[in-house]
Amino acid sequence: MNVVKRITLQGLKKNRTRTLVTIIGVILSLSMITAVTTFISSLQSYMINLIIEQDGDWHVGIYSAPQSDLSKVKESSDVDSYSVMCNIGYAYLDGGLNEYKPYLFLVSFTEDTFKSFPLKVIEGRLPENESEIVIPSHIYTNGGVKFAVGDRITLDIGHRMTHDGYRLTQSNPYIKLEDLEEQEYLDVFTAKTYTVVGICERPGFERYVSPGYTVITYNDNPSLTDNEFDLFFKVKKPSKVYEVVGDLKLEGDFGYHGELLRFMGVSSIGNLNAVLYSIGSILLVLIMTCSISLIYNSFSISVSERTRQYGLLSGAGATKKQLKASVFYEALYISVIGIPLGILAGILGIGVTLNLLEDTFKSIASANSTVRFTLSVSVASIAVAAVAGIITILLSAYIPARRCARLSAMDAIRQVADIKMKPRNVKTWRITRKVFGIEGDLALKNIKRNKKRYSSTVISLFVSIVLFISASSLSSYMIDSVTTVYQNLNYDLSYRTGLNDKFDEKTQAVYERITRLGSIKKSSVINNMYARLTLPKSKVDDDYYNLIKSHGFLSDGDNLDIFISLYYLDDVTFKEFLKEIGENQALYFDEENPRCLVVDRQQYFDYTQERMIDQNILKQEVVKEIDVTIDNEQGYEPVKLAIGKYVSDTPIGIRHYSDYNSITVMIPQSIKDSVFAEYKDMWDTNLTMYFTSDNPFKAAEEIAEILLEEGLSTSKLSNHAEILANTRNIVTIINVFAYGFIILISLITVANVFNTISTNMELRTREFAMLRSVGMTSKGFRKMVSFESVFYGLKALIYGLPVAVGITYLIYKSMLQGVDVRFYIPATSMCITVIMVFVVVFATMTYSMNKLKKKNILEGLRIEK
Amino acid sequence: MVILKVENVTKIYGKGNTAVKALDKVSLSVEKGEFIAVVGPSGSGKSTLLHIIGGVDNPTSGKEYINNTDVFSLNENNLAIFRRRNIGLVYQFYNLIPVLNVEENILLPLLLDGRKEDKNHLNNLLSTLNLSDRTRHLPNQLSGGQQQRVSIGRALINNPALVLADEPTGNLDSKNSAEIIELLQYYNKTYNQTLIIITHDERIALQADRIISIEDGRIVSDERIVRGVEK
Repeated sequence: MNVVKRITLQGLKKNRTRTLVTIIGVILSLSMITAVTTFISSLQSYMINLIIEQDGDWHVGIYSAPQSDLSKVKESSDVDSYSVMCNIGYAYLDGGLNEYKPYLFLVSFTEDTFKSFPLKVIEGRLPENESEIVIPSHIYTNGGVKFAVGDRITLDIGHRMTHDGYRLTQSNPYIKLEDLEEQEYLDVFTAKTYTVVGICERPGFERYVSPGYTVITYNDNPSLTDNEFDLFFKVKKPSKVYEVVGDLKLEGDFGYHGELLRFMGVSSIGNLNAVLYSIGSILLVLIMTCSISLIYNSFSISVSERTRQYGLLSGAGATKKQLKASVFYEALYISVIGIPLGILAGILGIGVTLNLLEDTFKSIASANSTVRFTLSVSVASIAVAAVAGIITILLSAYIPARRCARLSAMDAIRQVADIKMKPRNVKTWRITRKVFGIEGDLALKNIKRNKKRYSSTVISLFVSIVLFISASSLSSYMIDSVTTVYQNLNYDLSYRTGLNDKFDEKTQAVYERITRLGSIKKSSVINNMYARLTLPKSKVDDDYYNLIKSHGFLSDGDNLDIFISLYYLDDVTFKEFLKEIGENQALYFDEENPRCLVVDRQQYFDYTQERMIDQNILKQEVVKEIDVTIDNEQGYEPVKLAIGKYVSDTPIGIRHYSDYNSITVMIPQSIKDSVFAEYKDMWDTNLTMYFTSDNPFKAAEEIAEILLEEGLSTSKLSNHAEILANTRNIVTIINVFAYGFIILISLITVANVFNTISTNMELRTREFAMLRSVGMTSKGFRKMVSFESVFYGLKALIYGLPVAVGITYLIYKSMLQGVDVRFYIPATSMCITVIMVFVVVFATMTYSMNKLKKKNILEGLRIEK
Repeated sequence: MVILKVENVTKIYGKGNTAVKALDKVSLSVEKGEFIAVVGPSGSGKSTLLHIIGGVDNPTSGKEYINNTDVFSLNENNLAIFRRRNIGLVYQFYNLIPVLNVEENILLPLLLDGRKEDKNHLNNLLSTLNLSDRTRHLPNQLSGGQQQRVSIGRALINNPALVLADEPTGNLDSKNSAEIIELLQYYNKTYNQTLIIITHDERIALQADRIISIEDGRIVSDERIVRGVEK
């Protein structure tokens, strides 16, 4: 081992704490970098698996392929595997509820096809011969037709033809036309009986617009005729797929599995990969910046500490190259320990995180997928992390190394840096000494003296402060927006019927069955229409009138036009609500004097005034009835409604506040039928049922069952609890990653602060000893050190807090575009930051001070300069 | 008048087999206004003795009285305060505070005490030290001799009972050395300032009133110099 290496190693051993902290810093930053790269590679492999599950495991597909293409693919040495899917034909699905999916679509798979298009069997097994079929589960959940394992069905199989003789495929949606002459028809060519041997999940390759439910049979040796089968194949080297296809000179109509190839990194046209990589790069740069500031700091400390030693070395004939090398040896030793440990820690960390979040991820990804989001470590992700780590360390070592080599031997021995100091560099105000005493003054002068060394630490503290506060603001705004959007809903489930004016008997029966379910607490049936109301100034609330006037929408004395959201509710719900609010039920069902309930409360964000508006439109003590004007071409007379009560509570399905410039008016269904009889067609096309439940998920299942039994589609049933839960899950995931990231960045900062302060204290051992020898007491000493930490922390906070508040404001501005949120100073996170900054700085100072105090004055004085 | 009394001071560094006896039952008595030179080979214990006298190091056993105060009966805090009021220390490597200018460095013991300086005293001191035009300079802007003069100023600002100097000229050339010694002598003669210096330099030792030789932690000789005709 040469002498330079030996001196370097000794230096590292002598400053064990600093070396350790530096290595911890490297481990932290490497683990963050690895976490980012591994997360990206895990996400990629998850996406690839998801795509394979949905669309199959193939690279190139030839649709309605000619036999010649099959033989080309078979013979090519570049092709890894292939499979064929034979299209047998269509058959009508008897009793199907989905009018856009009236067919079954029969295909036959070979052994290989099952590998390329993995099917998930829910019940029974896959078909093993030509007369067995497997049925997808959505024939029941979407089409409402139930098949059981063991059923035998006879199908009239044919081709879908247009009236002018074209054959239609699965990519042509079913179009229902009034004119039966123009309507597509099924040209039946055979009848066959099949046995249902299994029920599988909906195959991902069946598109939503396809008119046939895919039914799969088995034939390992199909007799292939031109254009009656699809051919899919995988190439050995996906990166060469375009060349291979070019060489094959295919004749059929072929296409690439674009999405899969993109995630494999073969094709790179505008896709998620690009987004992932750019976000990844931004994170990497951020992490590397913080890490460089730490590692650079620690190298430059050790260089300046050893400057004299280097001076002696170069005085003794060491070349500049050797001196530079010594810094890089130091970097090497630290890398050898730090990088592998960091990569391991990163993989472990992200692995545990993904494991814990797996369910949360699953709920926001494709709901009926069984692909798991698990850790996937790729060589590339490790390589990228390692390279980023090495670059970080090299960059950090380069600057001190250059500086160290540039010094002349004499300068190094005399430690020029301090010699350059001028009185104005350490000038303080007179007041400092008056207020804080000589100790405070000395502290401030020291801060000024070490400006350069401290500045990178102050910067990294600053970055941590800004990141922490802005991230917590972002997450609290996101939670806010989720709550404002979804938590104002006073129901858990809704079902839109597609009937606008009145229940048909069947739907009525369904509604009644649902309301009898044990899992349903409350229910309502509601529809609405929009109407207008003209008010003279005397009937409008003064504040509101002035507000509208100030916007320039009307001049003083003008009438005010507002909107009415007119709702009708089923009589049962309406009566129950009247009972709840203590109103006389009979009054509201009098056709001669119709009476309504009114919500007159506006809640919205006014952009011109930059504040939340929460107020009413009507002068409620004056307005006792309203003229509801419904805009239609016939121009009917307005309907007069007496106002029974202004309410602030509402029945389920109706919001407790109204939109901008509008009021909400509620009437029972029977009044709608009599008083508003003329306006049948004006109601919204979706008469909607609303339900509340203690267990919305169970209720949703039970309702779906009822709908299917009654032959209704479940697609218009929404579970708002589920939507809310999903949104909350997204917020959780963002929080976990954001805070994980911030905590790690903060730890790097803590390591940085620790290294800088403790080394700085150590370098000043002799000065401290001197101060004590001229009679500075322990108390005075503690006072000086405390002031130093306060000034130091303050500096980072003075810059950090305003910037963080500024960023919070920007976040708030951008959130405003989507939802109404209020701006607030992120006081809690600011307090946490202030406390944390001082805790870290004080703890470090106390640590180093105690270490110093253990030495007696003499030892301190003896330390060589 | 006895200003300093050292009684049976022993200092042992380390423990067990590696223990080193730096001072072995040293006793000593100093009158006000004496100028004493302590000489002896390296490692003889002379610096240890000086540091114990100055109260920056504790003896393993023995007692010390300065102006009748039992120095080592004071707690750490009071010892620090006692030090800044009664003892002035001058080191070979000056040990100035790099961020404080000349005037502030000199005033440091007063500043630590929270006392106001006596302007006249300061100005006299500065002009005697030949530093009047350097008061706003930082230590790094001064030559070695100038820095040492600052540290002497710092030792004298409080009119201490004792000024202790550890090889004050060890780092200086002969011209500067001579100036420093002249200064110290001047204060000794003019203000009757008690002065103990450690030196290797025989010429400096010979200018003292009394030379104490130390070897292996013991005082081997303690003689008064009898001046010739000129005195």
